[in-house]
Amino acid sequence: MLFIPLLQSCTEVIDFDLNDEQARIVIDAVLTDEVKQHQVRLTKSTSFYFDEIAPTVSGADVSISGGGEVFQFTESATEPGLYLSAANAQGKIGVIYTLNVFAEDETYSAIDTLRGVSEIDTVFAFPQIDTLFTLDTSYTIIMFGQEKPGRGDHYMWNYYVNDTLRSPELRDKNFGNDDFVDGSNPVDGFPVFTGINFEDIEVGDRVRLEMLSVGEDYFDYAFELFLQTDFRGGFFDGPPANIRTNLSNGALGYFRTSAVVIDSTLALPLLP
Amino acid sequence: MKDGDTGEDLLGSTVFVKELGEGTSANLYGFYSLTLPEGNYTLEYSYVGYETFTKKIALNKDIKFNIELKIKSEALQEVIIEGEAKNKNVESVQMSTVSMKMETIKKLPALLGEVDVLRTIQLLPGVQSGGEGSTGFFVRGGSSDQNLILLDEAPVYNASHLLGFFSVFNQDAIKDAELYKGGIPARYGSRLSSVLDVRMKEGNLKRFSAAGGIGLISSRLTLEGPIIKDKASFILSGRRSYADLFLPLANNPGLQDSRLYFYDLNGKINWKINDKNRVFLSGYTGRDVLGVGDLFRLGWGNVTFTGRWNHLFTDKLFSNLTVIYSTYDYLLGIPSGAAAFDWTSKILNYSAKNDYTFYLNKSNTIRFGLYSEFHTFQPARFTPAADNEVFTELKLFDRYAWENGLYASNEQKFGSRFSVQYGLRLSSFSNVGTDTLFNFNENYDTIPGNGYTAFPAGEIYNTEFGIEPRLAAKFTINDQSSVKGSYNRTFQYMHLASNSTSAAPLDVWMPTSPNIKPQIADQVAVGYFRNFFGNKIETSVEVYYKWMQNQIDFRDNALLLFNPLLDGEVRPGKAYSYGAEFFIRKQEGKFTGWISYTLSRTFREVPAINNGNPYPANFDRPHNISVVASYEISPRLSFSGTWVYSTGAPVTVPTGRFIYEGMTVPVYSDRNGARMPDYHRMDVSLNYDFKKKEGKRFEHSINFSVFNAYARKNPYAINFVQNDRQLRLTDTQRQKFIAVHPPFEQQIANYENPNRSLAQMTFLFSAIPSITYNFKF
Repeated sequence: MLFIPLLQSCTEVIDFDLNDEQARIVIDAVLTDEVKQHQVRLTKSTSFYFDEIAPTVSGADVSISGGGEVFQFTESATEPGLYLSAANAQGKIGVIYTLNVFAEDETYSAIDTLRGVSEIDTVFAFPQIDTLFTLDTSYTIIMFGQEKPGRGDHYMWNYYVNDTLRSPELRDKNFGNDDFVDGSNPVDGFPVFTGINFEDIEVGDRVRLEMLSVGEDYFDYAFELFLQTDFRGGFFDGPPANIRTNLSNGALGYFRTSAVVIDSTLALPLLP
Repeated sequence: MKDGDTGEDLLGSTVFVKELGEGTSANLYGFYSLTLPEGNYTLEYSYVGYETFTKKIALNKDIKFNIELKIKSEALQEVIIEGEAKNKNVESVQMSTVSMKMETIKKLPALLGEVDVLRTIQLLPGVQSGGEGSTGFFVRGGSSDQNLILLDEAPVYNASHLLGFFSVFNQDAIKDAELYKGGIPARYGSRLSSVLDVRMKEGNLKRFSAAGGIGLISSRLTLEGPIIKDKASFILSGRRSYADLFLPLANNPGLQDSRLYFYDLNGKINWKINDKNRVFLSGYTGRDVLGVGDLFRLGWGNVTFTGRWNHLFTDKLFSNLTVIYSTYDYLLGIPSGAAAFDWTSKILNYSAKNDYTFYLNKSNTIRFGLYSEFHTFQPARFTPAADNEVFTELKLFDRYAWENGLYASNEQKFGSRFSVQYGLRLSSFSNVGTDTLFNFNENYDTIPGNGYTAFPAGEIYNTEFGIEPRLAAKFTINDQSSVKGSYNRTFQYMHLASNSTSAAPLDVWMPTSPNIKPQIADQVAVGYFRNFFGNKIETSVEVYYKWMQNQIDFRDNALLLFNPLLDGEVRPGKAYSYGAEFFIRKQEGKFTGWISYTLSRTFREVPAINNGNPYPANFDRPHNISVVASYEISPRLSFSGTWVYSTGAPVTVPTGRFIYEGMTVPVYSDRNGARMPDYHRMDVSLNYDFKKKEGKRFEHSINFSVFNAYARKNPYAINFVQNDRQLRLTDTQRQKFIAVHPPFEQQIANYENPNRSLAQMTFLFSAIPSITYNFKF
């Protein structure tokens, strides 16, 4: 008797016609309390099947104001769509900043408060062997510090190896909040980044950990973004939905302000 | 009234008084009562498929008759779904109802070797299937949790096995089923949209008998017989599938290591103590297990137990007392790896009910009763696998509730043309401690300083009441046609939050609470019923409108995995559905069948979803067509086929995308703003009865069937995938792939383009043939 297996499920790529909406502006704007040239990046959304890099928006008028100051951003000569401030621009903790973008005959704005951040006392970077499962060796970066008292603090982390940003994409960064540690509890040996590819760091490399304050809304924004991208495809998916923004007039993206602290260390070898 | 061969009660059989031109029908236990003035009468007892039995009586005092009817000598060839009397669809005041007898369902295509009650009702107007792989069905725009599925009066939460192919109702154990789509009588409550009342056979009171089948996918066996001849009987029915024994032969490596099986067991004992008392004990247990290699496993099961006592107080007052235990659990797990865990969820119910039927006189049949049910919800228990270091065991709080109902109704005849069934049901629902109630403000954030309220064990808090009027009326134009109308209001106190568009059993049952109000539905329906050619062709048209309140849906970007504040992730809204159902059926002759066409829409409107604009419900299918045909090629060979068609399911699709810090983020349209491709499928089946030896009881037959005969790839899900996380190979991996198969280089380049996005369709089944050998003695 012939028997064909019960489950013959298949996945195939199909041409599914999508009604594309009109392109919308995407604003990625960041102001920190560092003294440096800050960046605002303007691109456009595209149709879903568009398979090239995102189109940029040039000739826009971009500024961030707050605390009695106005930072004007001018478009980079070498990179269209990237707008840069003066080299000595600096956000101040506690100030409410407003972003204004005038592009393609439309105005977009957003507001964010630059919140303070606690200090990093110490940071270590060292390799670890996963003795439980994979027996792989990978690098871990841990920090020690005192969390800022008062509920409602949210954080984001980046790390650099020899001054190269190793967490450039949102999925590479780490996020956290003070739900389980607050104020009085010191943060002892909190593993900020784990599972870093062993080949990516050499003993003696300068590893810099950067901790930034972010608002609760940005924290939720990042989580929603992950829910609709990397976290999808499992049994616990919710229905597909649009993520939030703090920008007005139908713009996509986010205007974020952060206070930044850093600490660095030299990468350690594998301890015996 | 009973079957002369087996002693089974003949539900819905009729007795007709020739001299008066009227009669009555037997209830679910074969019990009937007629009140007539003194005199001489000719009584005709009849039931579809049986020889009519005539009895002359002189009525001068109360008399009791137990009648046994004999099956008609020629085998019944008609495919009859409804019709104790040939024109029952015209005569009965019940509208929006379908009665199904097992003997007649057996004539339909037996897919994968079995006929099935759930599959059959999905071929009728107004009933929408969830599609392949789905386990729910949808009646007149109501979601799948709004169907009250009863097996000998015990509620069944998930009546499907094996990806929706089989239901938990074993064809050899079931006597019949009744589906109410609207005009729901007052004796039923707890669910909004429909009642599927399935009754098990009692067991052959006269002699021992067995029946079963052996097939490629599953096998079944039923044993029944008397415990004490003519007084007590039993029936035991079991079924097990073994598709997984063949999976190692699959060419898909992921399937080779998989498990996929179900089993179920039905048992019943029937004891007629005396003429006034009967006792029944019935039980069901069943389980489904699906495991795909090491990736995940899924399982669910129902257990029910019912004990019933029929008692005749007088010749006119019939009572039924029932105690019920019912439980449903399901499991989702990841068997191995760093994050191995099992997530289980369970619901338990204990209930008792007492229903009375009072045959006041020939124009009035009164029913009344009460019901009480205690629910226990165990929404989630999260158990990490033994070697899991990452998670610890966690449990959401168990919740308890107490639901009650009280009803009274009357079916009254006004003359010979007009009859009305009117009734009122009162229901209540209370939360019971021990419980922890999370308090939310209007933004669904917990209130600082007043985050939750704890209730001690046994404390009853938050009682909701429901008043549920039920009304149905019929006006007979002539004995070939009638007009009917109905209105009902129903309440439902349990809510199913389902997280995906496919009704995979990832269901969380939640009780009504101060955070989730009871669901309410109001339905009006009007229908015209007309038979032609002396009841040979039956037709009907029904239109309905249903309003539903407090329908919950998960908010945008809801957090489902193990969230203790799950109450805060759902948003209430309203829903409405309307439709027209067209039905035509030929019941007699060699060629029988029916066509049903439903034109309907169903929408939801939830303030927090889709910006508060109405959106089509996940199971909105504007067009739904079913064609069923059976042809008797010769007395022992018959062919049948079905063809189903429905508009594609609504789906939320991206209308654009943007890049933010290296992540490709989709931009979505309105919720459910687009449609998947239309669904259609044909199934065929050929049944051959082997010659029966004269004088012997052994019968056997063989059945060939093909599911999805023209192998249509009906989409199960469509996913929109961004390449930026789709494939990221290291240089070494890429080189290895290309070394193995150089043409891969171009494919990999396509797939590695981080800017590229794709629509991927998953379909479940191509054509599935099957052979089953059936026997009976």
